[in-house]
Amino acid sequence: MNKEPMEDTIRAYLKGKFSKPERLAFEAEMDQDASLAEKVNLLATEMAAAEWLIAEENRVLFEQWKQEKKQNNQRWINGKTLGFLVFALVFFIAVVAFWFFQQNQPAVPTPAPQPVPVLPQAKENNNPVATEEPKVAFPELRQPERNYLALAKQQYIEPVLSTVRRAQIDSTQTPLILAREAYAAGNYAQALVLLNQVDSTRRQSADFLSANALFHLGKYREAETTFENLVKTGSTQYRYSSEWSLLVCRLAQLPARKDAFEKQLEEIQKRPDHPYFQQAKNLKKDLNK
Amino acid sequence: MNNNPGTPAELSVALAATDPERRKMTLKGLFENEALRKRAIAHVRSHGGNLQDGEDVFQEAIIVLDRKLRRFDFVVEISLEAYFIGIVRWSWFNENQRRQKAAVVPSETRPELSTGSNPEIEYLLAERSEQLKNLMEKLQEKCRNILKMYQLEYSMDEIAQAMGFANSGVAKKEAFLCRQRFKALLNTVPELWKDLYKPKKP
Repeated sequence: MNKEPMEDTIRAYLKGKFSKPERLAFEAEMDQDASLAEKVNLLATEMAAAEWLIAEENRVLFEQWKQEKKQNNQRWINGKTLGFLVFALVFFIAVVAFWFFQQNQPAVPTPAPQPVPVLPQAKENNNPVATEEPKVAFPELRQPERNYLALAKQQYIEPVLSTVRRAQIDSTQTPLILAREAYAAGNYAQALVLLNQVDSTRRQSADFLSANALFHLGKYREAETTFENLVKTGSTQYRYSSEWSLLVCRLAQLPARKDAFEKQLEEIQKRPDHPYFQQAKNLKKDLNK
Repeated sequence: MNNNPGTPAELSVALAATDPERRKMTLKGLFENEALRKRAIAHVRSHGGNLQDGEDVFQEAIIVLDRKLRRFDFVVEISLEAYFIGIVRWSWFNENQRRQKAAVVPSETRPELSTGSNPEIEYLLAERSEQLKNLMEKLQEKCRNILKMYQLEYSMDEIAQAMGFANSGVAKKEAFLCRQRFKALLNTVPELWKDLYKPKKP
């Protein structure tokens, strides 16, 4: 570059390559030599100008890298947006496909209405009513979890104790009276023991009260048998109330006693003159709810 | 982003390289160093500047760092980050002074740039940048490139290759002519350079 003789020295000074003593010596020389100082200033300006150019070049590069970064970020955002749109589209298609699939599923066949069963007992007895197609279906026990026992207790009718025949001799001493008192006091077990001591002349009264005591004690099957015997013996005094209590005992044992219960309920409903006709109808309504 | 660009010594070698691609990649690594950027912005923001000031100072500090590393103007023991923050402090101080000459915090003294730096060149770049710009705009693109490469210590062969000259002799001749043109331009603006170093004895 056709350097002047001092140029390398000046350049080394300007680049800070001198040691401290060298630098001080060179500056002392500049103090003595104005032309050297001017050469130093000239070369310093040339170097500063070149550095300014390098700095400008760097700034251009910085700007370029900033733009690249911005574009990359933009590209990333665009990519993210596109990804989201694709996801949304796929999701939408999946939802529509699912809906379409659901719409085109064959309808689940509903079970055909079951013919009303003819009670086997009725067939056996050749009951003309039973062989006909019943106009009213028996209440379907559609809710196995239904609390029939609670319903039975609700339907149960407490006997009027005054109707239990009084003993004619010593009323305070007879077992029947004592049993009635025990029953009234809620001592059903004690009442049963006393009722067993009642003689045959007062057997129906004793049995009727025994059946009720058994019901209270939760012995529904035994109560049912006792009420059933009273019905069969044709007791004029306890017949209808025993019939109703029999039905209630069967109700308490549902679904085990379903057949017997339904049959008896149907029979009562066929007899409008039956004193418990209305109660039977109401009970059926309750069961159909 | 590479947050561990290397030691100052390693960077010095890479930045002073006459391989433009290597130099460019090293510079890019520094520019995209998030740790340095955050430190610079944090310093500026804690000294009255905003985010944009921080970004500007970071950029200018990278330019100064490049210049100083090329001159191997650093203390070996000091980390790059500490060295860089020194430059940031110096850059922000100068910028602040430029903006409000009388409003510099009284307790604050001008931070030292570093040992071994050339005060005349730094002064010109910091205080007379606009005049330098005007001067260089009057110079041909070819001459600007030759001056730049010469400052980056390219050999004449490398200048010839980069500029597409026939050989190093042509490069040497072109460089001589460019420097002559530059001197001629300088003579038109003596106030730019004549007072940089004044001899104590005339």
